[in-house]
Amino acid sequence: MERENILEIKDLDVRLFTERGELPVIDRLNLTLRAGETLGIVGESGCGKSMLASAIMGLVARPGKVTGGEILFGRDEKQDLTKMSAKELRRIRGTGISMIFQEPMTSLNPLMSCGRQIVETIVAHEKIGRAEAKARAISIIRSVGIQRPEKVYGEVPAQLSGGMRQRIMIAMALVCNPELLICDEPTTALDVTVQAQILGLIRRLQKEKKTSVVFISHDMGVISQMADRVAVMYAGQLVEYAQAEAIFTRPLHPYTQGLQAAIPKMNEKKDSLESIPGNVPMLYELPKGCIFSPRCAYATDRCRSERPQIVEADGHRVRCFLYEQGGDAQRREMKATDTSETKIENKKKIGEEGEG
Amino acid sequence: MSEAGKNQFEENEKSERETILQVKNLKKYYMVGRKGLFGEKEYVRSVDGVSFELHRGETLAIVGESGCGKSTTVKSLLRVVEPTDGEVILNRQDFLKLKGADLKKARRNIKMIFQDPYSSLNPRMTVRDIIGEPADIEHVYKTEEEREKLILDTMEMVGLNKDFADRYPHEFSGGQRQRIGIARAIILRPEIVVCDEPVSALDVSVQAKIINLLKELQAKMNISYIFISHDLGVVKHIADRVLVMYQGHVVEEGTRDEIFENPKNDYTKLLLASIPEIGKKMDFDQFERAFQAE
Repeated sequence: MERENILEIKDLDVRLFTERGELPVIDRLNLTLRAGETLGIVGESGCGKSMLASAIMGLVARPGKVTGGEILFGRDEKQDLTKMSAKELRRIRGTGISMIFQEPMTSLNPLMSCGRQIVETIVAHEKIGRAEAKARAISIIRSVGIQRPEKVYGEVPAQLSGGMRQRIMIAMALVCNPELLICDEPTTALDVTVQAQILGLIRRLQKEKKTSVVFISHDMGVISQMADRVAVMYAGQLVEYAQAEAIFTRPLHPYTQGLQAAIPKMNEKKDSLESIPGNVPMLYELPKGCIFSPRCAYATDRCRSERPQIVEADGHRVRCFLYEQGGDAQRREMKATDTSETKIENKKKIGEEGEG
Repeated sequence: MSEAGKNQFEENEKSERETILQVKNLKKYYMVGRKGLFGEKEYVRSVDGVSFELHRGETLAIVGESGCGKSTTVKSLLRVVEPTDGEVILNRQDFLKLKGADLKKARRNIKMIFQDPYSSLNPRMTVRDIIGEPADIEHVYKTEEEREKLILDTMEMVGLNKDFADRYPHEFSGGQRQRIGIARAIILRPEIVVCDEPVSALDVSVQAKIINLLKELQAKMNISYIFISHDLGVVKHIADRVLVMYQGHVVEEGTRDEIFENPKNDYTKLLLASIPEIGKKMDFDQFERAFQAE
């Protein structure tokens, strides 16, 4: 049975209003998340992945603004988060949707004990006595794997290590049992062994509480461990969306392919790493056609003048002209004929202009 | 020659390479307080007896988690902080005992590339002056023309467009800024370059280019790198030999293949198991157990 959707993002537009004009930070984005699943969002800096998290939380601040589209949240009666009042959003945050951020130290109050910060969250949302709230806080601290919760309850964030702080953040985010948890690079500031602990913790709690998760990261390795489905973003646009396994075994979009090739792999030895020529474009100088075309080895004249729409191919949704007629077979054919020549030519051209 | 035989030959070749830097029993203790007013001093032993050798033209990686002492090790051997004890033999001299002009001269030979390309370049200097500054300090040129040629040649070596010499750091992307940092480090043609997390602040597509550049420069100039990184994927790609540090000590040392294919130390094993890799499901339970055991 198909699981129901908990989150549906439809044609979402977020723009930044700056001196250089209106910049599309998120450009007509469509995504869905099924209840209980993890949606991974991956992309390099400036691709709009964190802005997407802010948009879902209703936290887009000036000079940014949601200028179009809908973010529908909920199981049966879906509500549009973009149309909600500040008061309604406050009610949803914490009980409906929670978020954990990259740097636990800057998102926790340094002057207040960890326990009291968690109690604050509980009493903001529920009619509950102080003593009962404290008991709840201690129990959630224990459930994030901290062994002496009573002691940690009274400690301020500075007394804890980075991994412990992130555990407290997770405890605080989950204490009111939200349906949806947004993780924005939750382990980027942590050491690898601590990262592994925190990733394991998020997965365990997700299973226990049946939470749906949006997991944002620049690290394809981390995403591959966490996500059921993956969305790849580039300069504000969705370029590919598919089942996690499909993204990692058969990436279709040239950008997704490039990203994967650029990661040094543990199981292979190579003299030089593949890289993607050029740089991520600035939002105020986006190319006219496909936004990836200046860096793409397969780009044709059409790619440089016309913007591709998202098409279905082999179960992926992908924004690339290569897949207009369907999936792999078509791509192989194109590669075999004219594209291989264009590719070499393009590589030369980009190589000369390329700067990293 | 068979593939295996050839590898063996290359291995032997490498092991016979000349030792260019020798670090013996390096220690850096920071005093953190006293037991009572006249009591014993208390120290944090950031680096506690680290020894290793660096060979000409090789890359020695130092890996470990934050606080393990990897950065303090290189800072101490460069005397950015004065080490508490130990010897650093560079060109048959003890680098730690050098003073004044001798120290300055020795420092020409060992340079550093930093992690954050945004904060390690002076925003008020042009790229030309940033790259040329080490040459200015060391008076390695006689005329302005010589200076200009040296700077432009170096820019070319690191893949920077010469037309950008009059621009300022903020006009460049992260990857290009790191190229500027590399140019500044290699302009005096040092034998040793210490790279402290040189690609950690960069996006993957850019990171690949900088790693390729570092390898290219090494092949061209026979530079030896001490390469600090927490990213084991990058280390596996670039290193010839690896030191694994934990709490101020070297817990394991070996060639890249020894460390990655056949780690002996439990900590090295844990470190390797914690890398999230595409196509390999992690065993998360073991980390939860490790955390509970702490």
